[in-house]
Amino acid sequence: MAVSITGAGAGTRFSGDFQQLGRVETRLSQKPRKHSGWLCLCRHQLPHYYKCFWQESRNEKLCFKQSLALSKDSDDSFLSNVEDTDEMFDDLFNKYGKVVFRSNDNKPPTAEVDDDAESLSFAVEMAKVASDVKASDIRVLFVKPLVYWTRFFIIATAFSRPQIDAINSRMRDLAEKKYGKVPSGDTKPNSWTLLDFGDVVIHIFLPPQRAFYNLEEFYGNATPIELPFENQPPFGR
Amino acid sequence: MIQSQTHLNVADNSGARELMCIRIIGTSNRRYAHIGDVIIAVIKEAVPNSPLERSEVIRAVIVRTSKELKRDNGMIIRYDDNAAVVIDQEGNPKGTRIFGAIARELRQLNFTKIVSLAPEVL
Repeated sequence: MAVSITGAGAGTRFSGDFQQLGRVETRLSQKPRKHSGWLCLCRHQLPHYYKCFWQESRNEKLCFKQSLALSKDSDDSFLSNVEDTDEMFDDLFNKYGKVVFRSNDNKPPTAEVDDDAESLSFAVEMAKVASDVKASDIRVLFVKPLVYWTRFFIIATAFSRPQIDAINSRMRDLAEKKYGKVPSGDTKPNSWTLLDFGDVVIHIFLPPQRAFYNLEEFYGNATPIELPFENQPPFGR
Repeated sequence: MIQSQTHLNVADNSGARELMCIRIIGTSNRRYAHIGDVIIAVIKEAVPNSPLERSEVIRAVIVRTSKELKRDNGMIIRYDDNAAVVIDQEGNPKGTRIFGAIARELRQLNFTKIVSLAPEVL
């Protein structure tokens, strides 16, 4: 009890200045109560009062204010308060586990698998469109384990810019009609035309560019997906 | 904050080593360029026997800046150097591989080709 009494003595001396400040009961303020107990002990042990004040001012300002207010209004109950907080935290830990923050948009693992399956069907359909327009050497790669920003890569070779344009426009039409997706990326035929559907990224190359950039080698660790249709072999191999 | 006369490192294997910005593409009298902006640059230093030569004028995309990049969620990214990737008029990279980490903002700015060649996307 001696501890708390000395504390109270110190508190009343300064209470005039800090009366409005210390009464806020937030969850954050639960923790520094232990600090306040420690401060009071210091005060008890040190003989000179001003030394105590110096010790306090070294600590955080918030702790200081609260220690004063607490020691003022609770003489004998603040020690039990410390136990209360611990118990309260224990209860919370038992209830929620030691989780600091939990995001609300957590998806169950099944939703993730569903998304993968949906993207896969979309990718295979797109590859089929490319195959219909005589693109050759079509590869579908599952790159999700390698990069976070997409799930599937489709790499295809076309032999002229009009052909690239044909593949491009057909893919855009089908994606918009059937899936309601609008790609970003190249709109004009380019030697490396890229269509970005978010989960599926489609690369259409002319043969020299395909050899130059060699994306398959760069994503060599990605899992290739078997295609359900006849894949045209690369020209001239 | 890239402006004309800023020297930049090259983050790809195109053969250039160091660039100097001479113009920022966009509105007229634009003062500074940031990540994802296209600049006109001159090659100050090049690898010997490479397709790109010293004092050649090229286009480049800025991929790293020492100036902080702020995101809406409060994240701030600041790189050690200013770096750019050499591109051609169509927007295809001149090199085949990108070095170092790049920011995902490039994807939103339609530089997915650069993102897909990069080893690490932040």
